[in-house]
Amino acid sequence: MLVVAEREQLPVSQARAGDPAAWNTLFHRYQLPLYVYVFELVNDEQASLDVVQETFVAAVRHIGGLRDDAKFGSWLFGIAHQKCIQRWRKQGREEMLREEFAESPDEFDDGPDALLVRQEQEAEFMNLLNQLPLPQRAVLLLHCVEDFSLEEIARITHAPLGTVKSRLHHAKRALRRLVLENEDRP
Amino acid sequence: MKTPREILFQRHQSAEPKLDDIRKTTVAAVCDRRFRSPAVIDQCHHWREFLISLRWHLGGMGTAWLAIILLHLNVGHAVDPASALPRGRIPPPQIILTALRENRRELLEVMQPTEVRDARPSKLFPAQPRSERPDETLMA
Repeated sequence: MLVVAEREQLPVSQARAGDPAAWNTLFHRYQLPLYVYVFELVNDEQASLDVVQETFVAAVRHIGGLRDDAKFGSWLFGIAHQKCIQRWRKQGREEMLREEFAESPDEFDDGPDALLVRQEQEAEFMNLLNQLPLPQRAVLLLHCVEDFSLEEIARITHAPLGTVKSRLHHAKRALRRLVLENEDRP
Repeated sequence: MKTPREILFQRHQSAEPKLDDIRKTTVAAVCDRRFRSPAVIDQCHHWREFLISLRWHLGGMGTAWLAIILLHLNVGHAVDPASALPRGRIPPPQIILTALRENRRELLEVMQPTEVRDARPSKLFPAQPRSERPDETLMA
């Protein structure tokens, strides 16, 4: 099981000093979660690999700008998120980024593992994930893939906390609906 | 039953070899000095821009300091009396000492009569207690 990034002892200070072994450890830890996040937003394998590489390069170059070593994970995802936005802008998909929700959210006491999907529901889950609007999808992925807190997700996506809560609420409600519908089936 | 995270990771597990290649390439680049040089270049560029933005201030300050130094040198030359006089015209110390003694003697001569006059006691207000004063004083 994946351990939450902030609770891990990651060699961020060594990486800051330019230690290649430390960078190797950090990249190995985050390469798949980053790829999953980027791919589910971009839906293109080559573009996702490019974004991951660009994120790694930017991380090495701008590690001096990271204030808190414990926030390395969210900082890295923030870089990847910005790279995705740059790609969306090139593709003229800005209107999708500006989507907002006025509805007030419920409380979110449950973690990302609270939602369990049956094996036969996996394909439907992926379909539903792809049908979600980009802002909702981004928030749900960050919540599911790395278990980031709402504050961290707000920082990564450069969105207000209330907006993040609202987006996560809508995404989770849609997922729950899927699970319940499938449970009712004989 | 699986969590969404497990489903997503399992779905993209096949990308791991490509991600490994990317990671190795980037880590190899970290070792390469040329990779890190842009950061150093960036820093130099920032410093250069900073100094260029202050060029007028620095130029003004430099000119002001130059003017101050030049003025200080000129004033120093004007004030020094020894350097203003030619070396041959300065009298020897014995003559200067004799002239000073003569000057002092003349001053004492001028001051001496006044000192004598001031030393005499005053007749009008003698420095005695009232009971010991003579009768004429009381009469007056």
